[in-house]
Amino acid sequence: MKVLKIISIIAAVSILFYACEKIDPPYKEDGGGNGGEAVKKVLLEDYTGHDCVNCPAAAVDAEELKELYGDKLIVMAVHAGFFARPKAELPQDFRTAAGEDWDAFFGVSLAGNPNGIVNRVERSAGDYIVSVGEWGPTISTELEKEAEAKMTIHSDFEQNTLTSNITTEFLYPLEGTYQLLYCITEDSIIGPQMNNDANVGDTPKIEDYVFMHMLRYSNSSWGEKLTDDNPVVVGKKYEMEITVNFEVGWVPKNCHVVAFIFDQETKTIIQVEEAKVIE
Amino acid sequence: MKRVLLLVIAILFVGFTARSQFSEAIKKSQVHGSFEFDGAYYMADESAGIYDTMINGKNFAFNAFGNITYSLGNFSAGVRYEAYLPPLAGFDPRMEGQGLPYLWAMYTTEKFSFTVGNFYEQFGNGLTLRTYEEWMLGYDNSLNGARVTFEPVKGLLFKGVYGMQRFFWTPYTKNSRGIVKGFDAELDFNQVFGTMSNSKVRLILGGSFVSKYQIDQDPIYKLPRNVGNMAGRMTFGVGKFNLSTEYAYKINDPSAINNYIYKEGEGFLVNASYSTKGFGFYVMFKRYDNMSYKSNRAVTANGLDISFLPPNTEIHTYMLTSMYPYNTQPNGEIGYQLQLNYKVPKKSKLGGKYGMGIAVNYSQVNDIVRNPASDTTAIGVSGTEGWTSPFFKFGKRIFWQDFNIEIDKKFSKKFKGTITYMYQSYDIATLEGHTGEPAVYSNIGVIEMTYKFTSKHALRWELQGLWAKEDNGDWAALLLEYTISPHWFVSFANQYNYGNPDEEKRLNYYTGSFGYTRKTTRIAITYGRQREGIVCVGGVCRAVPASSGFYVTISSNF
Repeated sequence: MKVLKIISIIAAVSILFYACEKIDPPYKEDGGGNGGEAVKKVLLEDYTGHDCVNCPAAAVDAEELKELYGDKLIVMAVHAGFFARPKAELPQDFRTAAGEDWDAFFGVSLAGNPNGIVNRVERSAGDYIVSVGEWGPTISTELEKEAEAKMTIHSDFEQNTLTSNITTEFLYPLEGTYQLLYCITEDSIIGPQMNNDANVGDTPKIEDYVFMHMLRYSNSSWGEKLTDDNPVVVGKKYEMEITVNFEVGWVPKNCHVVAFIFDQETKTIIQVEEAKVIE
Repeated sequence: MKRVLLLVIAILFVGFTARSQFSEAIKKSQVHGSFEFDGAYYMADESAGIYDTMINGKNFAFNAFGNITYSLGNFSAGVRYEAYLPPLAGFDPRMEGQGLPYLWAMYTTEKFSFTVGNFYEQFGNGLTLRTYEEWMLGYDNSLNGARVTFEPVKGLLFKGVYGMQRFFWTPYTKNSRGIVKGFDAELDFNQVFGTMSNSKVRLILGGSFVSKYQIDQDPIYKLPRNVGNMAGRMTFGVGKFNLSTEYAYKINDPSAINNYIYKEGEGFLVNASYSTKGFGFYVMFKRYDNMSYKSNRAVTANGLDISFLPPNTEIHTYMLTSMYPYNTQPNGEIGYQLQLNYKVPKKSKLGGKYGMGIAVNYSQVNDIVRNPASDTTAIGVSGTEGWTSPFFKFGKRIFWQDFNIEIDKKFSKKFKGTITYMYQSYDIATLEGHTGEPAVYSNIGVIEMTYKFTSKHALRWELQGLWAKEDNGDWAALLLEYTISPHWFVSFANQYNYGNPDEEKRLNYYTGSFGYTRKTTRIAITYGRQREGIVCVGGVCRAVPASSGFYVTISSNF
């Protein structure tokens, strides 16, 4: 009897533990995101490689987020690390010197692919990596932050040479040194890609995979110094002009300029902007 | 003046008494600990494809821990220090760092125990909750929080846990990962009910419920913030026969592992065994369907698992029989295992003077059958019910097959040996993420012999062969180990990949070791090289580079 009494009490207590939430269809949020205009923009760096079998599914996730957030989210696919190396059946080399440097610095492919970085925010000491499943919530959190700077890009493409003028206006007197990184990304590059998800394409290899947002060029691995003022001057226009000669194989109409400013010390991106090479 | 004198005397008395009690406490206290240092010095080894640029200046690496436990009467407390500076090759780079990840204190009374801080716990087989640490794998999912156990009568045990889990060195911050709470009850009928205390029938019933809370910040999907996982279990025995079973049911738990599907999860285990002198028989059946259960739904890494899905395949220890180990597939698998042990009696024709042991084991694991959840969706698409699956039906894809027979025999007082044959099929595409690669079908043979020259000097050697047409092809391996008990050992081992389809990869992976043991302290120094590989966990793959160099292991406990 004593035992039964104890069991009853414990059973009653255990009900307090009961915590289940059954979600009924439809499973997708209505509209999603934060809605409305936001000056703050976010950069998602998708670290990938043509030999990474799980990367095409991650690219689909990135596209889904891009659809949701539109211009507020800028995606850059960085081909770097072990799974980006060319080999006999995957001969193309999409790696860049900057991409390799970033991969080594942030330790992304050491942790595995696919993985990403969102605005280069350090999540805990030395850890910048955001797993694919966390991309949505992390981007959403970043977008909720206030914009600290405005950027504009004006580009002129003539005779295979791209000249871009990037203007940055800080909205707050931020302390620190700020660098500007200037990149070119390209869409619609066709090539073979290993794949593990039949819902995305052929397995084990998609022969004519369409690579999007691929990093093609960066002015350097860690950019150029944008500000000499500390703190930065609110309202002042910090300008930089960058000229790039397009390499053979880059298709201008498929290319974008991606420019971002970041804190030299923390690497955190405070603003990012994207513009087509040819409007 | 008198007052002052009295005060001084009182202080001295109290101080003396306190000191005396303190000394008494010190005498009754117990301190235990353990320590291990695994260090490596990596060197370039061009013949194995290891260049200075790959080491990139990180020639030294080490993993180390020190564990100290203090107890005084009903109170105990402990701390573990860990350092990975940087971690050894093959370990997750996120382990780099050092600190005190494990701190705890516990107080026990006759019926209760209270733990705060970090702790390890398991409910039943672990289908709802198991936190544990595996030093050699670099795995630790300990809970940090509180645990209470209550045993009102002998044989009836309740446990409650509440906390968050360790994830490498990432500190817990608000909403950074889920919060776990769980409850378990177990009733041993033979202990609780006097009438059954001497019964041949044994019965234990148990049940557990675990829930995790994680905020929904996903911009695309509506995610359940509270996900419950519940299980019931039974152990039943009559004489030499034993039956044990557990069934777990998990509510919808969309996660990065299951590609954000809203299907419920199920886990089922049943095993039966019969043993008598010289004969034993074991049979097991398991089925897991969408049973990954982590305290952060977005994490795919090897961590934050709340539950544990027993692989229930035989664990092999020889170099070549363990080359392709099984890896449980939480999104779905169904399998069984049979084991037969027979001891051929002494003085029989086959058994000879000392008898002979025969062990036969067979295990197979298949994919579950998956059907579309509706007419309009494909299987496993995010934001859908995922799939439906008939419970007892085996899928066509075989993840794993292992048939092995092991015969051990003592020939004389000085000489004994073991012969093993194993056939294995290994779906490398699924189990290691090598998409597109064919399954590896291998035949493996092992001969192990030990010869004792004297009571202190012994030589053990192993000859092994693995023959396969797939993956890296054929292998041969040799081990020689000379022991001078109780202090010294020296060994040499080599794995030669002589059948690799790529001639440049027909390499020898050798190691030479010697070690010294004194009481509980062991030191071993090894020189050799390790193979490169690709490790895939939860859909994220990373390359583990080949390595070559010196390795030092020092371990001790007190």
